[in-house]
Amino acid sequence: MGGLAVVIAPGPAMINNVAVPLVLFPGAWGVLFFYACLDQKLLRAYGVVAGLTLLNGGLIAWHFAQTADVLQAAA
Amino acid sequence: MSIDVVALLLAIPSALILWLLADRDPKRLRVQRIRDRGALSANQRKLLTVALFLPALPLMALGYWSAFLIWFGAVFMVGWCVVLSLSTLASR
Amino acid sequence: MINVSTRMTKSLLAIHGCSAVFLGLLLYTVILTGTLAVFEHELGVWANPPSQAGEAPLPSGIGARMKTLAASVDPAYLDEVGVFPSSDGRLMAFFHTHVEAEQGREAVEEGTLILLEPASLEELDRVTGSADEVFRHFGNNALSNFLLDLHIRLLLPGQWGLWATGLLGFAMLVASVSGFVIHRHLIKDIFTLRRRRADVLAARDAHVIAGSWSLPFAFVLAFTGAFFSFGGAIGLPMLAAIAFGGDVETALEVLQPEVGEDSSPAPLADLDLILVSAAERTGGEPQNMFVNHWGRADALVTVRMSAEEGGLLPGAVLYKGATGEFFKTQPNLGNEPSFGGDLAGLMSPLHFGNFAGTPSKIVWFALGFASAYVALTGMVLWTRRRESEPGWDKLARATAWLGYGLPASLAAVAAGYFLLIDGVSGLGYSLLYVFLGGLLATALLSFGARSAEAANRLLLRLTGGIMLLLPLLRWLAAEGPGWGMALSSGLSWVFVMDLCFILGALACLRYKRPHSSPEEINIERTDEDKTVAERVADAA
Repeated sequence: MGGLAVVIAPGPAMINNVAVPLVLFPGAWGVLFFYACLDQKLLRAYGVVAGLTLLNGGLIAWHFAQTADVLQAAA
Repeated sequence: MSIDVVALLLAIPSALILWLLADRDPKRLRVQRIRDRGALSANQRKLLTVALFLPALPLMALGYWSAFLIWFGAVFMVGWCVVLSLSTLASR
Repeated sequence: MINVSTRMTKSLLAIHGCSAVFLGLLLYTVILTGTLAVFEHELGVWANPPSQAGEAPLPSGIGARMKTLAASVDPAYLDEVGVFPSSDGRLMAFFHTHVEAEQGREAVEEGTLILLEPASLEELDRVTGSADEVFRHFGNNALSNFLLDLHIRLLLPGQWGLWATGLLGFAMLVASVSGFVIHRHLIKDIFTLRRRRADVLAARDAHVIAGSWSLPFAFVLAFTGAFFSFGGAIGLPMLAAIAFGGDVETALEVLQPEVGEDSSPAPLADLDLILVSAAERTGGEPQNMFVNHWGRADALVTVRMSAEEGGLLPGAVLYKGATGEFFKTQPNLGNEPSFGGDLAGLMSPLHFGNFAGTPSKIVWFALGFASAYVALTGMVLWTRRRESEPGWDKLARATAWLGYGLPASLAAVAAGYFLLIDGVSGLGYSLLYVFLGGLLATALLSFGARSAEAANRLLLRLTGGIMLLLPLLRWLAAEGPGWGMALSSGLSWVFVMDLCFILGALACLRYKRPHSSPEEINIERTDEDKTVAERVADAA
């Protein structure tokens, strides 16, 4: 979910990137929950959830790294 | 009169249609063993279902979303009450 | 009809059952209190009405009155000033400032809270301290506040309560989706309700029919509820940290309008004229008003408006405080209109049902009631299925205890409020003790009764009995207005609520469970009549 804050454009009011994932989040967790419960292959379910977690973590890390670059360039 | 009160009034025709649909519902008549009236045909039920939603069209077309939500919620609650009352009547 | 495999149905049934059994009773508590909280303001007025109703949420003359009040408080508290109606229809004026926090602690608001009569604008009482202290000081809202605390936080302290109710919202979401999928004949069965049957079918029908008719709204209420609890507790801090890199300054700038800082003194423009202008400009009604930097050249007046006719989203109008000139209109969230802001803004009218006054509240109350009924009948169904198994009698009694003991305890809290309240003075934790006492007493009754069924009847009668006493206690013990006086002072809700409690009490006292006749129990059941659990058992 955190990754969405990076992916979604802030929009004119600069809040779309926060508000949209915030609203979607019960739905996102709901879908993941049902998927994890219903998938017959437990390993695959682990894999998908872990993959999504890594993807989000990666996006956040990439975003922070970029911000740090911009700050360094400014300094 | 406020548009939100109009929405409640628009729920009345929908409620009447719901009553008719519920009263002559084939499964209900069979399960509650009511034999003094016939069930509606599939086409009749389809027609009535379309009519049920007609009052909401002007609200949606004019963008009165608060009124639409009131109508929508009211129809669902009326539906529940209709089913409860009909089953009470049938079990007497 | 939704076609799903037996295996999937089995898993979904297990999910549906688990979400219900482990969290069902708590979920029922949250739904029932939420249903009552739809009428939070009306209950507030009923419990402790002002002497005369105000003509509007912000009555005319409030601007001038605020100026005389501003002259009487510590000038440091003019930093931020708000005036808004409290739950009981009185007005609250809060003059405050943000005190810099010590290392590692959250910043607190500190100021003077003044309670006003809404019609005469006469000052009733005032108190100075931190925001937490001053809002707990007055007892006039204690009843609605108790209800909200139970609904939002299950009376748990701090973030724990939000985590708990967030989880419950999520459980309700899961239960409504899984319930929708496992119910094979949603449309076909939507009018069929068997009542005079003693077996599981009658209990199943009661649960399924109420569930079917309230399904879309149960989903919406659960979704928005989970959003409010989880969103506030973890979602927002986390997302803001990522989006703004933990930069609180940027985050605040994005949310607040830009006004150049200018601390030179300047008198405040006529607030009453600003209110009139805001109403003309938007066609809505001013709900509350906030003034930043009162008495400075950069003063900013924010007037929050009701949603326009037929609309769902309320907005705000901003004025420059020193000149009184119109500055800008502001959307619900953020400085500019945005998809995300509107989406987040929709959550609150959809959850609270307060977007169109009484008509929408009536509908939302009914939807909440239906959802509470679904939660309770679901628990009853679960216990009925296992009637023969040992240990399930305890769960049946627990269901009876919370199912009917909770309304009885809540009614006892209202009765306690009338017996304890003295004007607008605070009540501390007394309502909590009354509530816990009520729960304990009803627990003893349910587990001591002959059977779970007997406990149900007893507690329902008890709820009815206490509810019937409420109007009397309100009138005699709390010295509230009689019906004639209430109606002539524009406090019609006092009369309406009394009437609702009397009717509710009579319904509880007269309620009879439908009895089953032996011949009906022996009706042959077709395959279609089988419950999901039976079908799964057959397949296995």
